[in-house]
Amino acid sequence: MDKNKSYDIVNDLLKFVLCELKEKNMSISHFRIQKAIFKIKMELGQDHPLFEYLPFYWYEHGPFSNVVSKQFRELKNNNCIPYSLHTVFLDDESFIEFSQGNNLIDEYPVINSISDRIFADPNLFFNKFDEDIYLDYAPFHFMHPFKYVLYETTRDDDLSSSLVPDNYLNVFYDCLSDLPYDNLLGDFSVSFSRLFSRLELINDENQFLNNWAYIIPPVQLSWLTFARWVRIYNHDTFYNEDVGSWKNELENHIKILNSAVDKFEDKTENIFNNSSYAPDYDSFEDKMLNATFGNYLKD
Amino acid sequence: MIEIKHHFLDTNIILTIPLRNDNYRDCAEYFKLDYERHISNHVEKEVFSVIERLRLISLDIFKHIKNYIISKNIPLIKIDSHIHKIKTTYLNRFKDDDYVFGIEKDRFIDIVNDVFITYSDEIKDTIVDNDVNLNLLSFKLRNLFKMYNKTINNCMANFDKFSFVNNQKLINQLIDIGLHESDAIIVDDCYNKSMNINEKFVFITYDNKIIECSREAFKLLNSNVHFSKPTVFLNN
Repeated sequence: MDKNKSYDIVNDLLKFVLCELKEKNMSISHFRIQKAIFKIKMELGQDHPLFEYLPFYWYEHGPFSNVVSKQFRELKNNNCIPYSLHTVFLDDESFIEFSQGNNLIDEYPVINSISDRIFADPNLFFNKFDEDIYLDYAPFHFMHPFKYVLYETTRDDDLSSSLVPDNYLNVFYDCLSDLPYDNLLGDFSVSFSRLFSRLELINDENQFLNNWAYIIPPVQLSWLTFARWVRIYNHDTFYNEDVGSWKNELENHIKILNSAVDKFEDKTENIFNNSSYAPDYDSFEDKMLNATFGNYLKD
Repeated sequence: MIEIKHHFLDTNIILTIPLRNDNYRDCAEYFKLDYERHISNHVEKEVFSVIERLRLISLDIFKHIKNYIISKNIPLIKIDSHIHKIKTTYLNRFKDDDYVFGIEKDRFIDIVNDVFITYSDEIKDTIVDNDVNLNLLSFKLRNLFKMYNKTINNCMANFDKFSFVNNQKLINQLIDIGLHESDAIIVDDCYNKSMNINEKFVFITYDNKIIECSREAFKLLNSNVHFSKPTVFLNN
């Protein structure tokens, strides 16, 4: 595919989006601009000629495009967007210049109606917009609870202060149950499962909240590592050449996650130590243990 | 077998602890005997790794069954052949792999066959009633692994655990005589511990491959480490 064409198309679309936002006097973060452009792409649909020229991959915060990011940086470097930490607003001079004509929109006026719909969505200013992107388009259903329950709770004091460990662990188990099988993801899945096992033990001892500070790092690393796998699994062909380096990065991240889980297990090693614990397995459980562990151990 | 008080436990010995099957009664008897039992951080890690791999396999089978039942309109006649088809479809996903979830293919196939046998009635009920039996089983599975994990954690707390920096040269020599790398690392741990406290050790394992290599490994490790199955001690 013609990568330069991609840069040109994204550049035109980005200028259009920034002008629309300025016209409506709306200021949003550049992360959300990425998602707005992704949503435009998805609403155009797979058969639209622009679809393949708007290249994205799924990453830590949802769909991400290096091309959008690069074009955005260029506009910033050219002082079209005054510096702001959180939100983005086009300067007046650039607005006048970019508003004078946009070949892309002239050729594909449907973008206008799609963007009107997106920018009329009151959720655009809230996390709900990002969450809806996950709910509508994420490659796996469990990515929404993984990101917005397991991960975000570790980053948001408001969420963690109302944390109910049982509910958190139910979500964790659902995510674990839905993990896809893939050779690249195998060691991640084992670490994620180990983490779950230890969290369950801690919770059974009513020590979950007391150990929240220790729980945060491995949970955060779990999401960040999974995100490095999911971009390999789900990316547009534009990024095919990056897959080799992404695989190396994933491998390193899995090692980092592994040692974080090791550390977490070490720190919580003595929480469960009940010498009288000797459960009675019922016949179903016995059969299941023999089906799994029995077969694994047999010569 | 000469009497040696220090016993180093291989992963497979620890994994049998919660099993009630007659095949592992010997191991339960062995644990009643009074020895100083040791493990290493590598053994512990490998134990948990196996547990989690087996859980992941069980969950993956569940997911497959659920998806298959939901996505297909299965007629009630010939239900057994449909269940067989569900299993075959599942196994076919891995037809080109030598290892699945890090477990040898043959063992993996045996596990899948036995899990399908274990769940046969529940799968049938789910197809017939179109209800949520499988969700209930998923809950039971969660509980089972929790119990297993707790049992293992509890037992391992009674063993002396240590960690050493491994000697790669010795590990390579152990690999050369036929041990898998993960086994060689654990045997090296045992050797390190025996040197550290200057006592003879016996490496307790069910692994026939290790037992087969034991004569050469014994020479290589300067006679400090013997190799044995737990049953040997029951005959004394």
